[in-house]
Amino acid sequence: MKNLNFSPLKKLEIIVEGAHQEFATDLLDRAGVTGYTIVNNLSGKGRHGFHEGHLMFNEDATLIMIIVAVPEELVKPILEGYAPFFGKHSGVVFISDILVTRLVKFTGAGEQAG
Amino acid sequence: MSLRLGRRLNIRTLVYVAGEAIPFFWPMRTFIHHNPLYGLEHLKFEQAVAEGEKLFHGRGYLDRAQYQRFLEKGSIEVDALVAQVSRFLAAQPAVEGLDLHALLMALLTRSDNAQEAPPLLADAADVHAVLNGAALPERRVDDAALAAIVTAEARPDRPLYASIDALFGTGIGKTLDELVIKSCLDFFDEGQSVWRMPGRSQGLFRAWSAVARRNLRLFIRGLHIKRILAVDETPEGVISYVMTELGVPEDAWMDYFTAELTRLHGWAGFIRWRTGAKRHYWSQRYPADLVDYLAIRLVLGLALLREHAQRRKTPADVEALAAFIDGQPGEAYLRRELHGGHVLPALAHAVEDALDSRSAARIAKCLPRYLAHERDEEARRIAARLRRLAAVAGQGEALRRLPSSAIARLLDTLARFEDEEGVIWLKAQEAHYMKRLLRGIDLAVMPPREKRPFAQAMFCIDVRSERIRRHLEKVGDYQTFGIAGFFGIPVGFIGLEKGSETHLCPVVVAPKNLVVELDIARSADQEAFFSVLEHVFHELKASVLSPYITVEAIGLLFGLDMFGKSLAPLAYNRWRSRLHPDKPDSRLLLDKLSREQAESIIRSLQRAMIVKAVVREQGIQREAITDEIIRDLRETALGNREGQTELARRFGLDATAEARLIGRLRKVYRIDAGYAQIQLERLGRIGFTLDEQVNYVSVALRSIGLTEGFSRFVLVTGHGSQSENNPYESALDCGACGGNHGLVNARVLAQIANKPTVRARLREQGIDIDDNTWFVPALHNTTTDELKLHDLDLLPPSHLVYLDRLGNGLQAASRLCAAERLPMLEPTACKHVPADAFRCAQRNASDWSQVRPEWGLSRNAAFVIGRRDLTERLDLDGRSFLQSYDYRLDPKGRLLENILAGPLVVGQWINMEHYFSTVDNERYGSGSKVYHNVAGRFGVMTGNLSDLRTGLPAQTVLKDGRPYHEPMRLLTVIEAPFEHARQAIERVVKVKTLVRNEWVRMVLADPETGTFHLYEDGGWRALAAGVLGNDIKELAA
Repeated sequence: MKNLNFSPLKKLEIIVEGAHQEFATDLLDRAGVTGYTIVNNLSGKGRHGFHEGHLMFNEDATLIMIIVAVPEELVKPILEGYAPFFGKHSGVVFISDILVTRLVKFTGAGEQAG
Repeated sequence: MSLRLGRRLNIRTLVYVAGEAIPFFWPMRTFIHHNPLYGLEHLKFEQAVAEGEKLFHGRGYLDRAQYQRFLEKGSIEVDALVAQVSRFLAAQPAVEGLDLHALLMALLTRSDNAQEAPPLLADAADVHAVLNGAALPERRVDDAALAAIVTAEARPDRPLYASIDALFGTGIGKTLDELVIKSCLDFFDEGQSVWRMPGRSQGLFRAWSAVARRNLRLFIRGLHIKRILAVDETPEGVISYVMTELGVPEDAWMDYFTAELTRLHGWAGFIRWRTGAKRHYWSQRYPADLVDYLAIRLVLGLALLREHAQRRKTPADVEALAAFIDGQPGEAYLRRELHGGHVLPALAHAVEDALDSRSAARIAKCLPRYLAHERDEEARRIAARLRRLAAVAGQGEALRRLPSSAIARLLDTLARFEDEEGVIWLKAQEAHYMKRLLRGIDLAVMPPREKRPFAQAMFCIDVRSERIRRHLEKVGDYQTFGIAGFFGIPVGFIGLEKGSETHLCPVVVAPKNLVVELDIARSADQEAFFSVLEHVFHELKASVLSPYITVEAIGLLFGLDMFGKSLAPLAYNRWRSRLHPDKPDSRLLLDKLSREQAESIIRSLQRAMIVKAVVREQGIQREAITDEIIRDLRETALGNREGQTELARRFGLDATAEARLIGRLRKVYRIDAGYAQIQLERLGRIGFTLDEQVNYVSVALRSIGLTEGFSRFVLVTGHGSQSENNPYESALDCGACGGNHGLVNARVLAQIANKPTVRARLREQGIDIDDNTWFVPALHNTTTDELKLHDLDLLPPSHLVYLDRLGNGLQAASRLCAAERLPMLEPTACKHVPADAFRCAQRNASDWSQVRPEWGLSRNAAFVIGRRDLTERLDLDGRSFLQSYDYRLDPKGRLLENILAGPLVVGQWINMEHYFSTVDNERYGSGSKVYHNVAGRFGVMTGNLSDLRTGLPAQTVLKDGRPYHEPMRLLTVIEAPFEHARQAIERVVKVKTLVRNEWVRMVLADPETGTFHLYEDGGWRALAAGVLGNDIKELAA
């Protein structure tokens, strides 16, 4: 395990209604994020009560989570970006410290297209 | 200058949230019914209506005179009005000496007073004086009061130029809107205009700025555009700059943006839709979003403001405007009167002269005279209204005796009442309809049928299905079911002669599976295929290319001509493709491809591309290209082999030329391993797995309660309309299929449900479909009421002998339905003889000059979720959505949740679209079709230059200028035990919000207790079925 390099990053878990997925990911794209993962059909309880995750015929109304790993300096701009949105909508952003081994995957530096 | 990243993102989000109040505008080829106040559904209905008035300047209710006409017709309950007036008065102070209840009832039912804006200068003492024939008391209107009147309208969230226009008559807003519309028409054009705006692929803002910097017209006008654009390259930077220059406080930015965006809400809604429509060809090619659009508006607005400030010394920022109002309140007030259209006609000249002179002395002289007149005028107007009202109510004498303090209370009460009046009428109208419907509903459980019906038929929940179902049930042994017209299967469809994918499902769903239509008769036309591909390569970007390639690949493999004559962009030449009845026989590809099949398709495609490349790039004849040459080139391009290729050897290509060709094969012709992987993924979307097929059929059948006793025929009936020369045709099609015909989904369901493998798996789930049951797709043409069966060539021979009986039954139902419907469409022209009516309807469908081929969903009022037994004996007059549902088959309420989240939400959109298009056809609807011009091939404008018209045209909801549609909120009835239904609603947040905010009127009909539960004023209230007959007050209070 000696040859593994651990690099610190921040993980953001952004939970929004499916209807806002385009908005939320577009903002990440514009922040220069190189990739993210989306988990669909979340269930859970929040200020608006319980959200069902298995609606077959209305994807706009279910919750999704976008998971993204970013360098620390991007955290504040992204949060500043989302601020007006969460002032009006349900949803949350969790921020945590993580380690990754292949930093190149998350910073875009030297990454190949495709 | 460039903004910080965080700041830039922040501004983007501000604009995004600011734009949310604006409803999407879908291109008209797939008209999507929606709630124009969708962005305000988080508010209570009444609050949203008030907010809509502010944002869109649209009325939320009909006017009093129209409600009075409904009252006369008997579609509003007087008792319900009485109850609501009492309820209103319970919270108001009494006015001694007056019977307020009688007065308000007179106001509602007998007064012809129109509602008016509240007085600004006159007060109760003035009105009292007029009523008593006395002179107005001495009173001076001070400067602060005048400034307050003006300031109240120059709010910080109102576009500054609008405030300037209102005071100086500058018309900046109008000029700005025209400039913006012209820019939008240039940029968003989808092939209608001859002139093409340059640089569109860079995006709206950049393309516009490049043109604007050079635009002579703007330059001559002395505009400052160039200087503003030089400040920052990004739209966010420009927005930030302009807002700072205007001096709008930051906490007002979002509201300011909203006000700016709602000025042309059709265009803004179109851009909103387009931004999210990632698959939309034009949106991929020429990107644009609201940030771009807002930046353009702000730049032009600031430039125009500065131009006027220079020429006419008008204020150019918020601070200067405030200084003007506070410094010269008298002048500001007179300006508001003159330019806001409030000025007293008798004094208009005097005011205009004084203002034109710009002489403080003349203005000061004019002001007191004007104020005195205006105050007098207001007091007299109000006094006259009160007198008329009191006279109608028989309280004229009592009014004269009222002291000034009581007049003040009376005026306040009247003003509050008029604020609430719309919703009072609405509830009384809803109560009437609710009473009629609930009274007819039969909660008794029917005994099971002794033998299976001759045929069963599924129809869309659409209100138009109700009529035909009723008639079909009457002409023979037919059992019908209601199900959302996409039959629960979200389909991405690529049809014959189409190069693009159509989503056949509610717009809140993105289909994951692709269904491809295959022509079973025609063979491949290689030449046509290649010329199409050539076109693709030269005209389209690679990202757009891929979906077409895969379609072509399929076509190639199966030896079919998939493209016919049209390719995606060309398809836009038509409003939308329709399913032609005389199309060749076709099959739908519903099963997943195997890995081998998919790879083989890609190989075929690659081979075809290589041949094309060699012919084009090297000028070598097709006949000379051997399989070996192709294989070599392919393997080399994919990186599987190295060294000289057979092509180079045979035709003497040197290494450079060979390398160049290989490079082009990879880049241009996409013979590339990575790209092949993407193609493979795309091919993976084609078809459904067996699990998916079984699940879709199972859910569809269980949710309508059809799990046993299957008939010989089960018709799966989609619907579509048929009309000529009608940009709104799509609005008459199936909303559950995204504004398309529903036949494809019907064919998909039928084809799957007829598969033995699917039936075997369904049997394991307890759904035993009889071996001699056959699912037959059909189309209900809602314009002619024709019912046409499809895919009859697949029908088992055993069924042929029954086909005649079935055909006769369907035809009888069609004719009866047309006969019922036609008199409402053409009261004079058509006879009531069913066969004549049917012919008449068919003529309508092909008449180019017909502005109203059918009434469509007009007059929709209810949504019933439950067994057909509930309503089978009722004539619902084509006004009710009917969704079959049997709670006994849905112990966990999951099926109900899906019905609520999908079909009900679509129904509510349709209902609200009709509601608002009726109550204010000019603002929320699109006005008369007669003045419509098609804009950019995606929308309509009134005249040559206007906002994109949203909503429904007058011909759809009005008749002779008056409402044909009765605007009411969707009365939704769910047949299920109270707790079962209530919990399902609670679990679907969207629907919970609609119920709690009363966007729908929800009634739960509990068959186990025989009780109706109505949601109203924040809670559920039980109504014993027996009370409905005599106690309607209960429902409206």
